[in-house]
Amino acid sequence: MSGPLLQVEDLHVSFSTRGGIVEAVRGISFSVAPGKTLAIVGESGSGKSVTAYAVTQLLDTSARIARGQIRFRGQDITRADAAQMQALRGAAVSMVFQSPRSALNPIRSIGRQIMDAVGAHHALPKAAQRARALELLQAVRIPEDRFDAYPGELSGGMCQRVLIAMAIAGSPALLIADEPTTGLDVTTQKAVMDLLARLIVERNMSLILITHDLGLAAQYCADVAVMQQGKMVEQAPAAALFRNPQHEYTRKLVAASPTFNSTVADLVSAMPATDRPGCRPERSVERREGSTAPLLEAHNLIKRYANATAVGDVSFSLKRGESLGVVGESGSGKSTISRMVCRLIDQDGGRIVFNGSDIGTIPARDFHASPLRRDIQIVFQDPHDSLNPRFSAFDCIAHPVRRLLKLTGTALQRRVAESAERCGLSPDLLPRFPHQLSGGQKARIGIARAIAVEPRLLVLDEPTAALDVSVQAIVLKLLDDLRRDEGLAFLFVSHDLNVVRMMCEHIIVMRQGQIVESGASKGLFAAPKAAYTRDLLAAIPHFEPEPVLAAEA
Amino acid sequence: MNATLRHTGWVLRSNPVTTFAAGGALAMVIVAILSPWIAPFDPVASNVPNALQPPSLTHWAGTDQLGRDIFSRLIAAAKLDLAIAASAVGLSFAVGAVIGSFCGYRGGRLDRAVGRIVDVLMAFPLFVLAMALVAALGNRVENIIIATAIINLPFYIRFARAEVNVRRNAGWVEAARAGGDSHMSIVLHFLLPNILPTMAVQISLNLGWAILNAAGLSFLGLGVQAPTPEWGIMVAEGARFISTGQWWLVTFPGLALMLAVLCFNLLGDGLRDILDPRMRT
Repeated sequence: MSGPLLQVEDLHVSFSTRGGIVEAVRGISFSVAPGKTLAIVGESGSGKSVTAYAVTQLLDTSARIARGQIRFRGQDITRADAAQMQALRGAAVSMVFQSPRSALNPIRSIGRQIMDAVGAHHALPKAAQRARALELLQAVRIPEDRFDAYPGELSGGMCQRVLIAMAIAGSPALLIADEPTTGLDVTTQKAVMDLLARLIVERNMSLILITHDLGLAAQYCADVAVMQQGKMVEQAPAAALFRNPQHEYTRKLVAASPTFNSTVADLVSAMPATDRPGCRPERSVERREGSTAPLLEAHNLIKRYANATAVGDVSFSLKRGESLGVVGESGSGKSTISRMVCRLIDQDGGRIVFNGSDIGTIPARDFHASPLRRDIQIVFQDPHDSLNPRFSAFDCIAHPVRRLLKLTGTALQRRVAESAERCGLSPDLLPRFPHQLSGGQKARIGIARAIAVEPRLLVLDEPTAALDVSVQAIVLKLLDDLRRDEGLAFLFVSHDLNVVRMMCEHIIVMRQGQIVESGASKGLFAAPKAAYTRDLLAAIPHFEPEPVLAAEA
Repeated sequence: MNATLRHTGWVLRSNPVTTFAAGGALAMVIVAILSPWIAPFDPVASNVPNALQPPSLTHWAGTDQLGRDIFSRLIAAAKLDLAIAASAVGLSFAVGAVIGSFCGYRGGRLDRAVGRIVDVLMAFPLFVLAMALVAALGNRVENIIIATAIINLPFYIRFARAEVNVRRNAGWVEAARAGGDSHMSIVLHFLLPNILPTMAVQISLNLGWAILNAAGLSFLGLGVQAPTPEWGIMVAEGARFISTGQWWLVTFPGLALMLAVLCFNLLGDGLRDILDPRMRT
């Protein structure tokens, strides 16, 4: 076929809201040739998902295509009616959504749902539908005996494969995948993406991959388009774009994405100084490596839930001013460990010794009254969820100071203002409520709250998992500076190995409640001993080598 | 504060029904409070020669069988009925929200035990239960309040329990524990304020129901006794005169009741929009 499969010209999409008309997409143009792969990358609010929804006409009722043209195989579908789109959707253009579990009907078996998708495109007898559904299951490498399983019985990765099977049921020419692996573990992500890439080649489909992950885009797509605030700022072949980014925003994004050899300072290097947190010049603080007794020791920690062992016999230790990374995929028990160390939950066995005293003997229920409460603080994963919606930013930070340090009046105000300033929060943000703040600002409030009581150990439970890369870069820099300035010890829990490598001297790798490998982070990254660590490292998408699919392009 | 006012203004403008209900409810409360001063006649002074007069410019809602001005009685009754409803709802809210919150937060055996007690309470026909309670406790205003509060209690317990239950694993609850709060303090200082907006809707809807309940008890001769002006008693007494054509004795108290219930119910829906912080963008 000659000419592009999909051609988008000067597309404008606007939403009518209470505050007036909001332009989500402001004049973007791109095209996808048959069999080609295009990644649209951008941070939250860049309009990348809206673009995908506009192409498939799945936009919200408050949205309107204000201007521009969408042509599919030369035919204008910008204002196609429902019947035309129905014929097009699934059979010609198909979509794979984010959060696979919620995109599936929980009370219908996956086989049935795939049969439904088959039946929507071809009027086939039941037996033929079933045969076709089984073929599709095989294509996405799900064993046939899972045909009657319900979505709740499958893992997230399996659910996403079911969705892919449904998406390709109508043999579409174009597949649009909107953040298909967000929320999945890296090894699962790799499996799903490899499968997707193989299917694209085998069935000669085109792919539009919408993602926030530059590494993923580089690895699986030939071309990459970068979006910022509704505009396409740069569009180029993946290798060229990452090797030599032209636009300032692209440079910032590329720099902010952690790689195998970047440092925290590298991440914010491409940012204007005004974007960086207001940290004081680095003080030279002795790390006291190996000099003193451990600050935190965990001996043979065990935590069991009703019928499963979340953490089985885990021991580690952490010195003053040191940073220990805990890495693992979901279900590895890493969050359980962070909560036991913080005394938010009780362990079922083992000892936790903090600064010489056995805090494991204090029940979690009573630890709030312990003088050691202020010494161990935690920063949570979801910055939005961890702030009380009815507290202003000031109260969020002030509350633990009032409780734990018994400060009031001007002393309290000074302490809160200091802590906010150290985290780069301007004072005029303090009277605001969480819903009036951005994700990055909320993350900083979470950190300011934790450091306001001057702890000695800060537990960081995936502190940047919910943030965009550029915000993540700023938050990581802030944390790194704080550690240098205050001599804080970190227990850094994360699924992102690159982040942990930059932030921590020592790492423990966990799987199913057990430590599979531990050691100094440099050595562990350079020469991983355990097979699981190697798998984890191999699964991280990165943009240095040539993209997998570039050859086919 | 400014933002709250702006948001309230927006809700009222874009939702005329809420504006009407809020205005009506507010007017009723003001009239009830000022009733001793604004009633044109003494609501309990009888004037037999002037009995059963139809509505006129002097007596806007006519007079009853003892010649008392019905309009003045309606205003005086508003004070009593609203006071009974507000105290009853306030009582069941205070007790129910605290019990429900602790059950929802703690879970476990306490939660199951309270849950079963609530189930038992709700298995009774609630109005009959209220009648039995008033009959047993004695015909006094405080007993109507207690009876109304008890039959409303299960709704508040269940409601608060469900609302707290979905929030107890929120990140900010864990953060509060790391910040030195005990479980008790978390329930009182963090969870209760957070469920207030949704509870306010329940309170408003419940007020209408409580007014109807108090009037219903008095209608049946339980609770408030004649000659005290009260909407339920006025309907009960006026009903005798429908067949002889004196319609105003029963119509006006009936209308007052209807208006009160309607206003508080409609207000509930509007309140939900005003108080929900997620609606403010």
